[in-house]
Amino acid sequence: MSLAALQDLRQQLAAVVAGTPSATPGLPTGLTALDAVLPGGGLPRGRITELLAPAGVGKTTLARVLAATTLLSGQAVAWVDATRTLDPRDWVTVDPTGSDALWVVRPGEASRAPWCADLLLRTGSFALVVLDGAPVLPRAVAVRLSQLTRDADAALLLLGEGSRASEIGGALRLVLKRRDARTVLATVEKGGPHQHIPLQLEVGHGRDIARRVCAHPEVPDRRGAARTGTARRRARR
Amino acid sequence: MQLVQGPLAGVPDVNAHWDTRPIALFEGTRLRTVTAAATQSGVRVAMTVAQARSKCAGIALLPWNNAVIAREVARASAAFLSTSPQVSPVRDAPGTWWVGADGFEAIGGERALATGLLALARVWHPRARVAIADSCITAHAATWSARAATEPLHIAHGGDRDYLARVPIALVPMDRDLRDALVALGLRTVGAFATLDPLEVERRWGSDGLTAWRLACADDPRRASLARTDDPRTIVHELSTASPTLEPVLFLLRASLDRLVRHLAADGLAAAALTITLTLDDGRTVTREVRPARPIARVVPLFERCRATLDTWTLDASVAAVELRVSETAHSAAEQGDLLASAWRDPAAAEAALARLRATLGAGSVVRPIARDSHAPERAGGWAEVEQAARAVPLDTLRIATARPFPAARLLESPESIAITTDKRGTPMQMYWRGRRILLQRADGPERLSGDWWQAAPFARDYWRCESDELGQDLLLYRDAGGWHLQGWYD
Repeated sequence: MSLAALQDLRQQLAAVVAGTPSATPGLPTGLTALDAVLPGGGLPRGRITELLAPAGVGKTTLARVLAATTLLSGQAVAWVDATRTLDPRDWVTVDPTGSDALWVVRPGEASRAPWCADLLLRTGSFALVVLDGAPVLPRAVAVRLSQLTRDADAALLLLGEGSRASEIGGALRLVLKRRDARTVLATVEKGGPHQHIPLQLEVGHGRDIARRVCAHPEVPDRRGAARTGTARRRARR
Repeated sequence: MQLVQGPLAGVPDVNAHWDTRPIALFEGTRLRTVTAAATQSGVRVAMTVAQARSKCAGIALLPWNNAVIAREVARASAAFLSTSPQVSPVRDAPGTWWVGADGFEAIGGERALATGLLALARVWHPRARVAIADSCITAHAATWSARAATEPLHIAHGGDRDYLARVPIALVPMDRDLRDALVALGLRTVGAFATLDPLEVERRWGSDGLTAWRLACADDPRRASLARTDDPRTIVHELSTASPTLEPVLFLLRASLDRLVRHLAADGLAAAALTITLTLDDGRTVTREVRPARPIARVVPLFERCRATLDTWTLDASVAAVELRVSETAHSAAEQGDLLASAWRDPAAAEAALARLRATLGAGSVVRPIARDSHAPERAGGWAEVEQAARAVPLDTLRIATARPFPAARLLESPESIAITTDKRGTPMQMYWRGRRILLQRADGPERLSGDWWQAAPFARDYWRCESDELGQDLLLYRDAGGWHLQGWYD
């Protein structure tokens, strides 16, 4: 073994012994505009991130893009759905290989969600753990999850609707607001340069629903009802 | 070679010994062992429980408990170690030990050893027997001699074959069919069997017959081995005070697992099954088995498995002691981690977490999305149980097109009925949901969805997407023959 190889091996061993986190400081979100302003080029690994927005603004959509990007890089994702409201058809395309690298944990009670995240982080198997819809984390729970996140070198993402998702706050806090029907404004409130980043998430008007003509008489077809009524009135005249 | 023989007893009380009472241990429906008093009543091993009761109405029937027997064997072995460093409990014959008797010339000789052993053995059983011989088979046969009942019996060096020549053939361990065949041939003693031609024995009864013939010739490969005072596969902890909860047990299990896994790893083994035995303060013992998906020699996933088992364990009495035993081992062949690859994840840890989540939250709690063939939003997708631990997927196998994100829907588990006020055109203007009146600022629709008429539950709905400034949500409503419903929202 050459001297250079020996030194290289020594450095690697030192890094392992010291518990150096992975070479990637951030977990890319999949949205270039957002990654560009986040320190480390994405969500910080080994830290807690809060993603806060009222319902309907698009935080689930943004977090789903992040999960898809993480899965795309060959890493596993766990999503704790405390409200049990995720729509599975939206997630089929997120994990197209069906490799079981995406776990959706649906506890019966929202209060069990932090425990689920605790267990998932302990395995060290997931690069991203999303805690969605859980009550605001008490200080003790948040501290423990923070420690586990650091040990696992994972990113823990808390989705919340209020002004905070945990009593101690995360290392990074992103707040979403709807700017118009198709654009969401993401603000880095903590852990990065305070900046507003417009994101195209198309929340509100993106889904195409298959239009079919109903062949059943139970529900009257009311499309064009007004016009039909106008035609009748004209006929009476 | 020295042999100590005597049934095990939990309480060394000579005056009221358990062997003087009719007791039998059963396994399944048949008796596995009986006391001397039960034998005198006509109860025999392999009888059914009902037959035993018919022979002796007052017989006490107890279940065979491997954990208790192993513990008592370990206790007796530890006591015998004060006389000889070579003490081996005989496999499948609890109550019998091989004890090494070589090298005692300078400290009183074999007789002094035998006397000391007998004194110790009679603490457990008043009629324990000790015999000394060159081979295990001879020492075992000698304990059945009437002389061995009063004092240790010593077979002179080189006299094993002559001694065995006179003993009944039943004292040689062999297959029952073989024994019956030898008896049918008129062979009654071990010596008669030993006179047979070994080639003929092997031709007739194969290797089993030849092994028995060698034993009859006092050619016994069994030897006492150096004993270990602690069983490296079992750890027992007694709690200082009985605990009504399992929290203290978890701490003890973790410490026990650390030690056991260290022993296993040193031997190049992995745990294929663990047995947790709780001793309750009313004297009962409860045992559960923990079996990982594959043999593991790592503490964390094994501990998570144990914890998952304990989570579902309902106690009806306080715990006084806990025993953790590696009941099954396998050679370590599991996937090894790369020391230098920080991205390596232990799949066994994920499997353990999966087992624990399922045990705690129930089936259907850890799922992955699947597509279904339906146009109804609630039927167009579903959740399937995660089958195995997450594994990394190589980048080149992925074929995901990074499309523009579309809004994610959140669906209520079942659509909730709502009341709606519409304008003249039928457009929703306000809704009443969970006791609240919510103004709808914008409504797009209707989108007509119908289908599944070929199935039991056809649907025909007019969908509306409504925005509410009050809720800040993009709501998904529909109207069907049953009225208006809120199905979910987009986020």
